Amino acid sequence: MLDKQSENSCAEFRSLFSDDEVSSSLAAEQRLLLNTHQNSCAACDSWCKQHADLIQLAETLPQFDVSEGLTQRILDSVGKQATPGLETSLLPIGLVAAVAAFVLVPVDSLQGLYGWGAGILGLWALQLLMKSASTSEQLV
Amino acid sequence: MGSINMGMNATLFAQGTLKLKALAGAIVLSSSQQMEHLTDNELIALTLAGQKKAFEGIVRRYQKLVYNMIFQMVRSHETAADLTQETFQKAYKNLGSFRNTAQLKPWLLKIASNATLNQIRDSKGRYFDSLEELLEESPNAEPSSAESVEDLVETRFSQAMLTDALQRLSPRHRQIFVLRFQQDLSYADIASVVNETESAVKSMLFRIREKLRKMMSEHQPVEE
Repeated sequence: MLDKQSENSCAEFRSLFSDDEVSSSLAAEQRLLLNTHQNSCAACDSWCKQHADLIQLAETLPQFDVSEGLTQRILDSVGKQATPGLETSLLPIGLVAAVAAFVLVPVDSLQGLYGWGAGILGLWALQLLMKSASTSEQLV
Repeated sequence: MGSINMGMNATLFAQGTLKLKALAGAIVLSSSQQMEHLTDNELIALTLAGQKKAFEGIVRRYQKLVYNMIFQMVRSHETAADLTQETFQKAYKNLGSFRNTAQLKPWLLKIASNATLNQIRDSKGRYFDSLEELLEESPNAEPSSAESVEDLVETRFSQAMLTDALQRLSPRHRQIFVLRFQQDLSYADIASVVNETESAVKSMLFRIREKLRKMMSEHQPVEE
């Protein structure tokens, strides 16, 4: 039957052993202490072997290749979507075009009217782009 | 810290240059071989510049990882295929909001994880296969490694026991275990995927391994 000190040693050993990032960075002296405990404690030795077997088994769990059919299905579904981020990259262009149309073209002629119309269209397009940009920025 | 910032700025500058070149049509991806040599951030920059072919590089690079993680959670090839498609659709849609300084792999897995957990919640656990079903080959997918017949039978039986034990865990615990020991993700990446701290992940993994060890040892045949 294990005494209290042995139980603490076993608990500490198992805690250190199970954290592979810690156990792999242990100093040689500490590693020697771990190995000494494992060699002297049948329960911990058995525990280690079971854990090692479990990890080895997990590493060999079958991994399935993705069929080309599924890949094409993914690419086709993505292909139907608009280019991501395009809306935000066009924002500055839309803004400049709208401002230019208003500033450069006075409304004192038919051409001016067309210019103002272009400016209004530009502002409307800008509004649409800003709406799309704000929804596309939501993270899943 | 100064050198790290300079390094990051240099990377961002390179990506920005790449994006401009792609926008100008100076870079046109035409083959998978070209994409293999590009980093994740370069592929993202090209995708955002309008080169959808670049996103194919991302899909081909990570589809197997995403698919297998989802499959281990839902244990259905059909559902795993649907959720993999959904994952990449969402990733594509939100690519514009992906930060260059982040890692693409945990970001993708996080999308996959959320989609899968939502699906499991909505389906109320319809994905638990019997042990017999788990031992059968799937008609739609082939395991990617080959073994001798005897080894294969023994390994498959042990794997079936482990899979059966994994099925008795919650999808979240199953996911954490698979990400660590099948997909070899770091604790930091796993923590990012499952929205926990690294120490919480380590603690959970310890408990999960202990639980699985006990379940598997209950199934061990008695040696004569």
